[in-house]
Amino acid sequence: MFKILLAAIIGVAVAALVTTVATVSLTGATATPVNQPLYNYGDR
Amino acid sequence: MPRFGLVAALLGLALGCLALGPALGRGFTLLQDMVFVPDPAFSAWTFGLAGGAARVVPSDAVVTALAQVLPAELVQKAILLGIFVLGCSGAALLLPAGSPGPRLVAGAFYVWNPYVAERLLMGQWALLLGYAGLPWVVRAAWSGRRLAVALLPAAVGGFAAMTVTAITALPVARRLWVVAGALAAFSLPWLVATALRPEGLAGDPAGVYAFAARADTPFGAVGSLLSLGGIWNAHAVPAGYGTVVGAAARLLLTLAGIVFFLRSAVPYKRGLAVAALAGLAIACAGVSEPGRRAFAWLVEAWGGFAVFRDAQQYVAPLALVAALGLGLLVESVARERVWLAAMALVPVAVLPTMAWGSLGRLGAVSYPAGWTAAREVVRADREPGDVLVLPFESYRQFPWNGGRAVLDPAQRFFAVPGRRVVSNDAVRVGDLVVGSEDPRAREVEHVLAGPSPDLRAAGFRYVIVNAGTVEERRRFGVWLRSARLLVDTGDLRLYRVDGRMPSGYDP
Repeated sequence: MFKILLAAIIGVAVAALVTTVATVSLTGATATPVNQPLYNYGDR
Repeated sequence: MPRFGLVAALLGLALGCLALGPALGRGFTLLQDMVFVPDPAFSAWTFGLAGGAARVVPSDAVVTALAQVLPAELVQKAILLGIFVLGCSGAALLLPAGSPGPRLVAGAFYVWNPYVAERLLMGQWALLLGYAGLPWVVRAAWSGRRLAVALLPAAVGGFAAMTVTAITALPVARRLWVVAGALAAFSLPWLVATALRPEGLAGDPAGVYAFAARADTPFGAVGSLLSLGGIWNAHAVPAGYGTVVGAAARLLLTLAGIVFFLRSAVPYKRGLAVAALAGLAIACAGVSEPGRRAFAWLVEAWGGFAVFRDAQQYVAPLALVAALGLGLLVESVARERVWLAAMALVPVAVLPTMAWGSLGRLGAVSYPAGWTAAREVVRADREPGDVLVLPFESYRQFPWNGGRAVLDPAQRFFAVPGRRVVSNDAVRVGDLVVGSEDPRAREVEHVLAGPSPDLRAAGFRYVIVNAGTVEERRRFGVWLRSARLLVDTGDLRLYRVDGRMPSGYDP
Protein backbone atom coordinates (compact mmCIF):
# COMPACT_ATOMS: atom_id res chain seq x y z
CA MET A 1 0.00 0.00 0.00
CA PHE A 2 2.83 2.38 0.87
CA LYS A 3 4.45 1.68 -2.48
CA ILE A 4 1.24 2.59 -4.28
CA LEU A 5 1.17 5.91 -2.45
CA LEU A 6 4.85 6.53 -3.14
CA ALA A 7 4.35 5.66 -6.81
CA ALA A 8 1.42 8.10 -6.96
CA ILE A 9 3.50 10.87 -5.37
CA ILE A 10 6.39 10.26 -7.75
CA GLY A 11 4.02 10.15 -10.72
CA VAL A 12 2.36 13.44 -9.77
CA ALA A 13 5.79 14.97 -9.14
CA VAL A 14 6.97 13.99 -12.62
CA ALA A 15 3.78 15.43 -14.11
CA ALA A 16 4.37 18.64 -12.15
CA LEU A 17 7.94 18.82 -13.40
CA VAL A 18 6.88 18.37 -17.03
CA THR A 19 4.01 20.87 -16.72
CA THR A 20 6.08 23.53 -15.00
CA VAL A 21 9.03 23.24 -17.39
CA ALA A 22 6.71 23.26 -20.40
CA THR A 23 4.78 26.29 -19.07
CA VAL A 24 7.90 28.30 -18.34
CA SER A 25 9.58 27.29 -21.63
CA LEU A 26 6.60 27.92 -23.86
CA THR A 27 5.23 31.07 -22.30
CA GLY A 28 8.35 32.46 -20.70
CA ALA A 29 6.10 32.72 -17.70
CA THR A 30 7.27 34.52 -14.70
CA ALA A 31 5.08 34.39 -11.63
CA THR A 32 1.39 34.14 -12.42
CA PRO A 33 0.05 35.01 -9.02
CA VAL A 34 -3.54 35.38 -8.08
CA ASN A 35 -4.85 38.33 -6.14
CA GLN A 36 -1.54 39.62 -4.86
CA PRO A 37 -0.43 43.15 -4.15
CA LEU A 38 2.74 44.55 -5.62
CA TYR A 39 5.34 46.91 -4.39
CA ASN A 40 4.94 50.13 -6.27
CA TYR A 41 8.43 50.83 -7.54
CA GLY A 42 7.44 53.28 -10.23
CA ASP A 43 10.31 53.96 -12.61
CA ARG A 44 12.96 53.68 -9.94
CA MET B 1 27.40 14.60 14.48
CA PRO B 2 26.62 11.06 13.29
CA ARG B 3 27.77 10.01 9.82
CA PHE B 4 24.33 10.49 8.28
CA GLY B 5 24.34 14.03 9.69
CA LEU B 6 27.41 14.74 7.60
CA VAL B 7 25.79 13.17 4.53
CA ALA B 8 22.68 15.30 5.09
CA ALA B 9 24.86 18.40 5.45
CA LEU B 10 26.49 17.59 2.10
CA LEU B 11 23.04 17.08 0.55
CA GLY B 12 22.02 20.47 1.95
CA LEU B 13 25.16 22.02 0.47
CA ALA B 14 24.38 20.50 -2.94
CA LEU B 15 20.76 21.70 -2.80
CA GLY B 16 21.97 25.12 -1.67
CA CYS B 17 24.34 25.38 -4.64
CA LEU B 18 21.50 24.32 -6.95
CA ALA B 19 19.05 26.79 -5.42
CA LEU B 20 21.42 29.75 -5.32
CA GLY B 21 23.17 29.18 -8.66
CA PRO B 22 24.29 32.56 -10.02
CA ALA B 23 24.02 34.12 -6.57
CA LEU B 24 27.23 32.27 -5.72
CA GLY B 25 29.14 34.22 -8.39
CA ARG B 26 31.36 37.21 -7.67
CA GLY B 27 29.56 40.16 -6.10
CA PHE B 28 26.52 40.73 -3.91
CA THR B 29 23.03 39.32 -4.13
CA LEU B 30 20.66 42.26 -3.81
CA LEU B 31 17.01 41.31 -3.88
CA GLN B 32 14.02 42.70 -1.98
CA ASP B 33 15.03 42.77 1.72
CA MET B 34 18.44 41.14 1.15
CA VAL B 35 21.04 43.88 1.30
CA PHE B 36 24.73 43.29 1.91
CA VAL B 37 27.40 45.90 1.24
CA PRO B 38 31.19 45.81 0.96
CA ASP B 39 33.17 46.97 4.01
CA PRO B 40 30.13 47.74 6.18
CA ALA B 41 30.62 50.04 9.16
CA PHE B 42 28.96 49.99 12.54
CA SER B 43 26.54 52.83 13.16
CA ALA B 44 23.56 53.59 15.38
CA TRP B 45 21.36 52.05 12.68
CA THR B 46 23.24 48.74 12.91
CA PHE B 47 22.07 48.45 16.51
CA GLY B 48 18.52 49.62 15.89
CA LEU B 49 19.14 52.95 17.61
CA ALA B 50 18.54 55.26 14.66
CA GLY B 51 14.80 55.66 15.04
CA GLY B 52 13.30 52.87 12.93
CA ALA B 53 12.07 49.48 14.11
CA ALA B 54 14.84 47.12 15.26
CA ARG B 55 14.44 44.77 12.28
CA VAL B 56 18.14 44.46 11.54
CA VAL B 57 19.12 43.68 15.15
CA PRO B 58 21.34 41.82 15.67
CA SER B 59 21.69 40.35 12.16
CA ASP B 60 23.37 43.44 10.70
CA ALA B 61 25.76 43.73 13.63
CA VAL B 62 26.80 40.08 13.18
CA VAL B 63 27.32 40.56 9.43
CA THR B 64 29.27 43.76 10.03
CA ALA B 65 31.47 42.01 12.60
CA LEU B 66 32.11 39.03 10.29
CA ALA B 67 32.87 41.42 7.43
CA GLN B 68 35.77 42.84 9.46
CA VAL B 69 37.63 39.55 8.97
CA LEU B 70 36.14 38.23 5.71
CA PRO B 71 35.02 39.96 2.51
CA ALA B 72 31.32 40.82 2.97
CA GLU B 73 30.31 39.03 -0.23
CA LEU B 74 31.79 35.79 1.15
CA VAL B 75 29.92 36.34 4.41
CA GLN B 76 26.69 36.61 2.43
CA LYS B 77 27.34 33.43 0.43
CA ALA B 78 28.36 31.51 3.55
CA ILE B 79 25.14 32.54 5.31
CA LEU B 80 22.95 31.60 2.36
CA LEU B 81 24.62 28.20 1.93
CA GLY B 82 24.60 27.73 5.69
CA ILE B 83 20.80 27.97 5.70
CA PHE B 84 20.59 24.92 3.42
CA VAL B 85 23.27 22.94 5.26
CA LEU B 86 21.83 23.68 8.69
CA GLY B 87 18.22 23.06 7.68
CA CYS B 88 18.84 19.83 5.80
CA SER B 89 21.09 18.28 8.42
CA GLY B 90 18.83 19.45 11.27
CA ALA B 91 15.68 17.89 9.81
CA ALA B 92 17.61 14.71 9.00
CA LEU B 93 18.94 14.39 12.54
CA LEU B 94 15.58 15.16 14.12
CA LEU B 95 13.86 12.26 12.38
CA PRO B 96 13.96 9.11 14.54
CA ALA B 97 14.77 6.74 11.68
CA GLY B 98 17.09 3.77 11.70
CA SER B 99 18.58 4.31 8.26
CA PRO B 100 19.85 7.40 6.45
CA GLY B 101 17.48 7.30 3.44
CA PRO B 102 14.34 8.61 5.17
CA ARG B 103 16.41 11.22 6.96
CA LEU B 104 17.73 12.54 3.65
CA VAL B 105 14.20 12.73 2.21
CA ALA B 106 13.09 14.75 5.24
CA GLY B 107 16.15 17.01 4.96
CA ALA B 108 15.68 17.57 1.22
CA PHE B 109 12.03 18.56 1.59
CA TYR B 110 12.75 20.85 4.51
CA VAL B 111 15.08 23.05 2.46
CA TRP B 112 13.41 22.71 -0.94
CA ASN B 113 9.81 23.81 -0.62
CA PRO B 114 7.68 26.90 -1.43
CA TYR B 115 8.37 28.45 1.98
CA VAL B 116 12.13 28.54 1.40
CA ALA B 117 11.74 29.56 -2.26
CA GLU B 118 9.42 32.47 -1.50
CA ARG B 119 11.29 33.76 1.53
CA LEU B 120 14.53 33.56 -0.45
CA LEU B 121 12.93 35.63 -3.21
CA MET B 122 11.82 38.08 -0.51
CA GLY B 123 15.47 38.28 0.50
CA GLN B 124 14.65 37.37 4.11
CA TRP B 125 17.83 35.53 4.93
CA ALA B 126 17.58 36.37 8.64
CA LEU B 127 14.18 34.67 8.92
CA LEU B 128 15.49 31.69 6.95
CA LEU B 129 18.39 31.40 9.35
CA GLY B 130 15.87 30.91 12.15
CA TYR B 131 13.90 28.48 9.95
CA ALA B 132 17.06 26.44 9.36
CA GLY B 133 17.65 26.26 13.09
CA LEU B 134 14.10 25.08 13.93
CA PRO B 135 14.80 21.31 13.84
CA TRP B 136 17.82 21.83 16.07
CA VAL B 137 15.71 23.88 18.49
CA VAL B 138 12.97 21.22 18.59
CA ARG B 139 15.58 18.60 19.35
CA ALA B 140 17.15 20.72 22.07
CA ALA B 141 13.84 21.85 23.60
CA TRP B 142 12.67 18.25 23.77
CA SER B 143 15.87 16.74 25.08
CA GLY B 144 16.85 19.68 27.26
CA ARG B 145 20.40 19.65 25.86
CA ARG B 146 22.38 22.28 23.94
CA LEU B 147 19.49 24.70 23.78
CA ALA B 148 21.72 27.78 23.68
CA VAL B 149 23.67 26.50 20.67
CA ALA B 150 20.47 25.51 18.87
CA LEU B 151 19.00 28.97 19.39
CA LEU B 152 22.00 30.81 17.94
CA PRO B 153 20.82 30.94 14.27
CA ALA B 154 17.45 32.39 15.30
CA ALA B 155 19.13 34.76 17.74
CA VAL B 156 21.32 36.08 14.92
CA GLY B 157 18.26 36.37 12.67
CA GLY B 158 16.44 38.69 15.05
CA PHE B 159 12.81 39.32 15.89
CA ALA B 160 11.02 37.45 13.08
CA ALA B 161 13.27 34.40 13.37
CA MET B 162 12.93 34.37 17.16
CA THR B 163 9.14 34.71 17.07
CA VAL B 164 8.78 31.79 14.66
CA THR B 165 11.20 29.83 16.85
CA ALA B 166 9.26 30.63 20.01
CA ILE B 167 5.99 29.43 18.49
CA THR B 168 7.71 26.18 17.52
CA ALA B 169 9.77 25.58 20.65
CA LEU B 170 7.35 26.40 23.46
CA PRO B 171 4.76 23.65 22.75
CA VAL B 172 7.59 21.12 22.37
CA ALA B 173 9.50 22.10 25.49
CA ARG B 174 9.71 19.66 28.36
CA ARG B 175 10.91 22.35 30.74
CA LEU B 176 8.82 25.29 29.62
CA TRP B 177 10.37 27.95 31.83
CA VAL B 178 13.92 27.06 30.84
CA VAL B 179 13.04 27.31 27.13
CA ALA B 180 11.01 30.49 27.65
CA GLY B 181 13.89 32.02 29.61
CA ALA B 182 16.39 31.12 26.91
CA LEU B 183 14.14 32.57 24.20
CA ALA B 184 13.77 35.79 26.17
CA ALA B 185 17.51 36.03 26.81
CA PHE B 186 18.39 35.54 23.14
CA SER B 187 15.78 38.13 22.17
CA LEU B 188 17.34 40.80 24.37
CA PRO B 189 19.27 42.57 21.56
CA TRP B 190 16.13 43.58 19.68
CA LEU B 191 13.97 43.84 22.80
CA VAL B 192 16.38 46.35 24.35
CA ALA B 193 16.68 48.32 21.10
CA THR B 194 12.89 48.45 20.89
CA ALA B 195 12.56 49.49 24.53
CA LEU B 196 15.00 52.35 23.92
CA ARG B 197 12.84 53.83 21.15
CA PRO B 198 11.74 57.23 22.47
CA GLU B 199 8.34 56.97 20.84
CA GLY B 200 7.71 53.41 21.99
CA LEU B 201 6.22 50.66 19.93
CA ALA B 202 3.83 51.66 17.19
CA GLY B 203 2.41 49.57 14.38
CA ASP B 204 0.53 50.68 11.29
CA PRO B 205 -2.64 48.58 10.90
CA ALA B 206 -2.31 49.05 7.13
CA GLY B 207 0.48 46.46 7.34
CA VAL B 208 -2.07 43.80 8.31
CA TYR B 209 -3.91 44.31 5.02
CA ALA B 210 -0.74 44.74 2.94
CA PHE B 211 1.12 41.69 4.25
CA ALA B 212 -1.70 39.21 4.79
CA ALA B 213 -1.25 35.79 3.19
CA ARG B 214 -2.59 35.56 -0.38
CA ALA B 215 -3.47 32.78 -2.77
CA ASP B 216 -0.62 31.92 -5.09
CA THR B 217 -2.11 28.63 -6.29
CA PRO B 218 -5.54 27.78 -7.70
CA PHE B 219 -6.48 26.35 -4.28
CA GLY B 220 -7.13 29.65 -2.52
CA ALA B 221 -5.26 31.26 0.33
CA VAL B 222 -5.67 28.40 2.80
CA GLY B 223 -4.74 25.80 0.17
CA SER B 224 -1.68 27.90 -0.70
CA LEU B 225 -0.67 28.09 2.96
CA LEU B 226 -1.11 24.34 3.36
CA SER B 227 1.25 23.96 0.39
CA LEU B 228 3.72 26.14 2.38
CA GLY B 229 3.29 29.06 -0.05
CA GLY B 230 0.84 31.95 0.12
CA ILE B 231 3.26 34.84 0.48
CA TRP B 232 1.78 38.32 0.06
CA ASN B 233 4.24 39.59 -2.56
CA ALA B 234 3.75 38.62 -6.20
CA HIS B 235 7.43 39.26 -6.89
CA ALA B 236 8.42 36.52 -4.44
CA VAL B 237 6.63 33.67 -6.22
CA PRO B 238 8.77 31.30 -8.33
CA ALA B 239 8.15 31.19 -12.07
CA GLY B 240 5.49 28.78 -13.34
CA TYR B 241 4.22 28.36 -9.79
CA GLY B 242 0.54 28.65 -10.65
CA THR B 243 0.08 25.54 -12.82
CA VAL B 244 -2.70 23.31 -11.53
CA VAL B 245 -0.66 20.12 -11.73
CA GLY B 246 2.33 21.66 -9.95
CA ALA B 247 0.16 23.19 -7.24
CA ALA B 248 -1.71 19.90 -6.77
CA ALA B 249 1.58 18.01 -6.47
CA ARG B 250 2.92 20.38 -3.81
CA LEU B 251 -0.32 20.25 -1.85
CA LEU B 252 -0.43 16.44 -2.06
CA LEU B 253 3.15 16.20 -0.88
CA THR B 254 2.59 18.43 2.14
CA LEU B 255 -0.67 16.73 3.10
CA ALA B 256 0.93 13.29 2.82
CA GLY B 257 3.72 14.45 5.09
CA ILE B 258 1.32 15.92 7.65
CA VAL B 259 -0.80 12.74 7.72
CA PHE B 260 2.18 10.44 8.21
CA PHE B 261 3.63 12.67 10.90
CA LEU B 262 0.34 12.59 12.81
CA ARG B 263 0.18 8.79 12.45
CA SER B 264 3.69 8.38 13.80
CA ALA B 265 4.95 7.80 17.31
CA VAL B 266 7.75 10.37 17.36
CA PRO B 267 8.23 11.59 20.94
CA TYR B 268 7.69 15.31 20.22
CA LYS B 269 4.67 14.66 17.96
CA ARG B 270 2.05 16.38 20.07
CA GLY B 271 4.08 19.50 20.78
CA LEU B 272 5.21 19.99 17.19
CA ALA B 273 1.68 19.36 15.89
CA VAL B 274 0.37 22.05 18.26
CA ALA B 275 3.10 24.43 17.03
CA ALA B 276 2.24 23.73 13.38
CA LEU B 277 -1.46 24.26 14.05
CA ALA B 278 -0.79 27.50 15.92
CA GLY B 279 1.44 28.73 13.10
CA LEU B 280 -1.16 27.86 10.48
CA ALA B 281 -3.88 29.58 12.52
CA ILE B 282 -1.81 32.78 12.67
CA ALA B 283 -1.12 32.57 8.94
CA CYS B 284 -4.84 32.11 8.23
CA ALA B 285 -5.90 34.97 10.51
CA GLY B 286 -5.44 37.56 7.78
CA VAL B 287 -7.08 35.53 5.05
CA SER B 288 -10.64 36.65 5.79
CA GLU B 289 -11.92 40.21 6.11
CA PRO B 290 -13.16 39.76 9.72
CA GLY B 291 -9.79 38.23 10.60
CA ARG B 292 -7.91 41.16 9.09
CA ARG B 293 -10.14 43.65 10.92
CA ALA B 294 -9.60 41.90 14.25
CA PHE B 295 -5.86 41.70 13.64
CA ALA B 296 -5.68 45.39 12.66
CA TRP B 297 -7.55 46.27 15.89
CA LEU B 298 -4.96 44.31 17.90
CA VAL B 299 -2.09 46.13 16.17
CA GLU B 300 -3.71 49.47 16.92
CA ALA B 301 -4.17 48.44 20.55
CA TRP B 302 -0.52 47.43 20.91
CA GLY B 303 2.10 47.81 18.18
CA GLY B 304 3.89 44.61 19.25
CA PHE B 305 1.25 42.53 17.49
CA ALA B 306 2.66 43.86 14.19
CA VAL B 307 5.21 41.05 14.42
CA PHE B 308 2.42 38.76 13.19
CA ARG B 309 1.40 40.90 10.22
CA ASP B 310 3.51 39.02 7.62
CA ALA B 311 1.62 35.96 8.75
CA GLN B 312 2.69 33.42 6.10
CA GLN B 313 6.08 33.10 7.77
CA TYR B 314 4.44 31.22 10.65
CA VAL B 315 3.80 28.11 8.55
CA ALA B 316 7.47 27.26 9.23
CA PRO B 317 6.67 24.57 11.87
CA LEU B 318 4.18 23.06 9.40
CA ALA B 319 7.04 22.71 6.91
CA LEU B 320 8.99 20.80 9.55
CA VAL B 321 6.01 18.55 10.26
CA ALA B 322 5.57 17.81 6.54
CA ALA B 323 9.28 17.13 6.06
CA LEU B 324 9.43 14.70 8.99
CA GLY B 325 6.21 13.02 7.84
CA LEU B 326 7.64 12.43 4.36
CA GLY B 327 10.71 10.93 5.93
CA LEU B 328 8.49 8.61 7.99
CA LEU B 329 6.50 7.70 4.87
CA VAL B 330 9.58 6.37 3.09
CA GLU B 331 10.62 4.32 6.13
CA SER B 332 8.67 1.44 4.60
CA VAL B 333 11.09 1.39 1.65
CA ALA B 334 14.14 2.36 3.67
CA ARG B 335 16.27 -0.40 2.14
CA GLU B 336 15.25 0.16 -1.49
CA ARG B 337 17.62 2.72 -2.93
CA VAL B 338 15.66 3.42 -6.12
CA TRP B 339 12.57 4.44 -4.18
CA LEU B 340 14.63 6.52 -1.78
CA ALA B 341 16.50 8.31 -4.57
CA ALA B 342 13.24 9.04 -6.39
CA MET B 343 11.60 10.38 -3.22
CA ALA B 344 14.63 12.54 -2.41
CA LEU B 345 14.23 14.15 -5.84
CA VAL B 346 10.47 14.70 -5.50
CA PRO B 347 10.80 18.09 -3.68
CA VAL B 348 12.92 19.39 -6.58
CA ALA B 349 10.53 17.94 -9.18
CA VAL B 350 7.46 19.66 -7.74
CA LEU B 351 9.28 23.00 -7.52
CA PRO B 352 11.85 22.96 -10.33
CA THR B 353 11.89 26.72 -10.84
CA MET B 354 13.48 27.23 -7.44
CA ALA B 355 16.68 25.98 -9.08
CA TRP B 356 19.49 28.19 -10.37
CA GLY B 357 18.64 31.17 -8.28
CA SER B 358 14.94 30.80 -9.16
CA LEU B 359 15.89 30.91 -12.83
CA GLY B 360 18.28 33.85 -12.47
CA ARG B 361 16.21 36.05 -10.19
CA LEU B 362 18.95 35.67 -7.61
CA GLY B 363 22.15 37.00 -9.09
CA ALA B 364 25.40 38.59 -7.99
CA VAL B 365 26.48 42.11 -8.91
CA SER B 366 29.16 44.60 -7.92
CA TYR B 367 28.36 48.05 -6.65
CA PRO B 368 29.18 50.77 -9.21
CA ALA B 369 32.41 52.75 -8.79
CA GLY B 370 30.39 55.92 -8.18
CA TRP B 371 28.96 54.47 -4.98
CA THR B 372 32.43 53.69 -3.61
CA ALA B 373 33.75 57.12 -4.59
CA ALA B 374 30.83 58.83 -2.84
CA ARG B 375 31.34 56.76 0.28
CA GLU B 376 35.01 57.71 0.47
CA VAL B 377 34.06 61.37 0.38
CA VAL B 378 31.42 60.99 3.10
CA ARG B 379 33.65 58.90 5.37
CA ALA B 380 36.66 61.22 5.02
CA ASP B 381 34.68 64.30 6.06
CA ARG B 382 34.72 65.20 9.77
CA GLU B 383 32.18 68.03 9.57
CA PRO B 384 28.84 67.17 11.18
CA GLY B 385 25.67 66.61 9.19
CA ASP B 386 23.53 63.74 8.01
CA VAL B 387 23.08 62.07 4.64
CA LEU B 388 19.76 62.24 2.80
CA VAL B 389 18.95 59.62 0.16
CA LEU B 390 16.71 60.63 -2.74
CA PRO B 391 14.24 59.75 -4.20
CA PHE B 392 12.54 59.46 -0.83
CA GLU B 393 11.23 55.94 -1.46
CA SER B 394 12.35 52.74 0.23
CA TYR B 395 12.82 50.36 -2.73
CA ARG B 396 14.84 50.65 -5.91
CA GLN B 397 15.21 48.85 -9.24
CA PHE B 398 18.76 49.72 -10.28
CA PRO B 399 19.77 48.96 -13.90
CA TRP B 400 23.17 47.76 -12.59
CA ASN B 401 21.30 45.18 -10.45
CA GLY B 402 19.43 43.75 -13.42
CA GLY B 403 16.30 45.71 -12.50
CA ARG B 404 15.74 43.54 -9.42
CA ALA B 405 13.68 45.26 -6.76
CA VAL B 406 15.71 45.83 -3.62
CA LEU B 407 15.53 47.82 -0.40
CA ASP B 408 17.78 50.82 -1.02
CA PRO B 409 21.30 49.71 0.06
CA ALA B 410 22.36 53.33 0.72
CA GLN B 411 21.38 53.07 4.39
CA ARG B 412 24.01 50.39 4.95
CA PHE B 413 26.49 51.39 2.23
CA PHE B 414 27.00 54.96 3.48
CA ALA B 415 26.78 54.13 7.17
CA VAL B 416 29.41 55.91 9.23
CA PRO B 417 29.58 56.54 12.99
CA GLY B 418 28.29 59.95 13.99
CA ARG B 419 26.35 60.58 10.78
CA ARG B 420 22.83 59.36 10.11
CA VAL B 421 21.79 58.16 6.69
CA VAL B 422 18.12 59.04 6.30
CA SER B 423 16.02 57.21 3.76
CA ASN B 424 12.34 56.50 3.64
CA ASP B 425 11.16 53.35 5.40
CA ALA B 426 7.51 53.58 4.36
CA VAL B 427 6.49 50.68 2.11
CA ARG B 428 4.07 51.00 -0.78
CA VAL B 429 2.04 47.90 -1.59
CA GLY B 430 -0.28 48.59 -4.47
CA ASP B 431 -2.51 51.44 -3.28
CA LEU B 432 -1.61 50.91 0.37
CA VAL B 433 1.18 52.74 2.16
CA VAL B 434 2.52 51.16 5.32
CA GLY B 435 3.68 54.23 7.19
CA SER B 436 7.20 55.07 8.26
CA GLU B 437 8.33 53.90 11.70
CA ASP B 438 11.19 56.38 11.88
CA PRO B 439 10.20 59.82 13.28
CA ARG B 440 13.13 61.47 11.48
CA ALA B 441 11.98 60.02 8.15
CA ARG B 442 8.49 61.37 8.80
CA GLU B 443 9.93 64.84 9.53
CA VAL B 444 11.98 64.74 6.35
CA GLU B 445 8.95 63.67 4.33
CA HIS B 446 7.22 66.78 5.62
CA VAL B 447 10.23 68.96 4.71
CA LEU B 448 10.41 67.49 1.19
CA ALA B 449 6.73 68.16 0.61
CA GLY B 450 7.52 71.88 0.28
CA PRO B 451 8.49 73.52 -3.04
CA SER B 452 12.03 74.44 -1.96
CA PRO B 453 13.13 72.36 1.05
CA ASP B 454 15.88 73.79 3.26
CA LEU B 455 17.98 70.63 3.65
CA ARG B 456 20.71 72.31 5.68
CA ALA B 457 18.17 73.47 8.23
CA ALA B 458 16.91 69.87 8.31
CA GLY B 459 20.41 68.75 9.41
CA PHE B 460 21.81 67.39 6.15
CA ARG B 461 25.35 67.88 4.88
CA TYR B 462 25.16 65.36 2.03
CA VAL B 463 22.46 64.37 -0.41
CA ILE B 464 22.67 61.22 -2.49
CA VAL B 465 20.53 60.79 -5.59
CA ASN B 466 20.80 57.18 -6.71
CA ALA B 467 17.63 56.73 -8.77
CA GLY B 468 14.61 58.62 -9.99
CA THR B 469 12.60 59.53 -13.02
CA VAL B 470 13.72 62.36 -15.31
CA GLU B 471 11.18 64.66 -13.72
CA GLU B 472 12.32 63.74 -10.20
CA ARG B 473 15.98 64.33 -11.02
CA ARG B 474 15.14 67.71 -12.49
CA ARG B 475 13.27 68.62 -9.29
CA PHE B 476 16.18 67.49 -7.09
CA GLY B 477 18.53 69.56 -9.27
CA VAL B 478 16.43 72.65 -8.50
CA TRP B 479 16.43 71.89 -4.77
CA LEU B 480 20.20 71.43 -4.80
CA ARG B 481 21.23 74.23 -7.16
CA SER B 482 23.32 75.92 -4.46
CA ALA B 483 24.92 72.63 -3.31
CA ARG B 484 28.29 71.35 -4.55
CA LEU B 485 28.15 68.33 -6.83
CA LEU B 486 31.05 66.12 -5.68
CA VAL B 487 30.38 62.84 -7.49
CA ASP B 488 28.45 62.64 -10.72
CA THR B 489 28.16 59.28 -12.44
CA GLY B 490 25.29 57.73 -14.30
CA ASP B 491 24.50 55.64 -11.24
CA LEU B 492 24.76 58.18 -8.45
CA ARG B 493 25.16 61.84 -7.63
CA LEU B 494 26.58 63.11 -4.34
CA TYR B 495 25.90 66.69 -3.31
CA ARG B 496 27.34 68.58 -0.36
CA VAL B 497 25.19 71.24 1.26
CA ASP B 498 27.64 73.71 2.83
CA GLY B 499 26.86 76.01 5.72
CA ARG B 500 26.43 75.88 9.47
CA MET B 501 24.43 73.13 11.06
CA PRO B 502 21.19 74.20 12.72
CA SER B 503 21.37 74.81 16.45
CA GLY B 504 20.42 71.73 18.43
CA TYR B 505 21.71 69.35 15.76
CA ASP B 506 22.38 65.97 17.39
CA PRO B 507 23.59 63.16 15.10
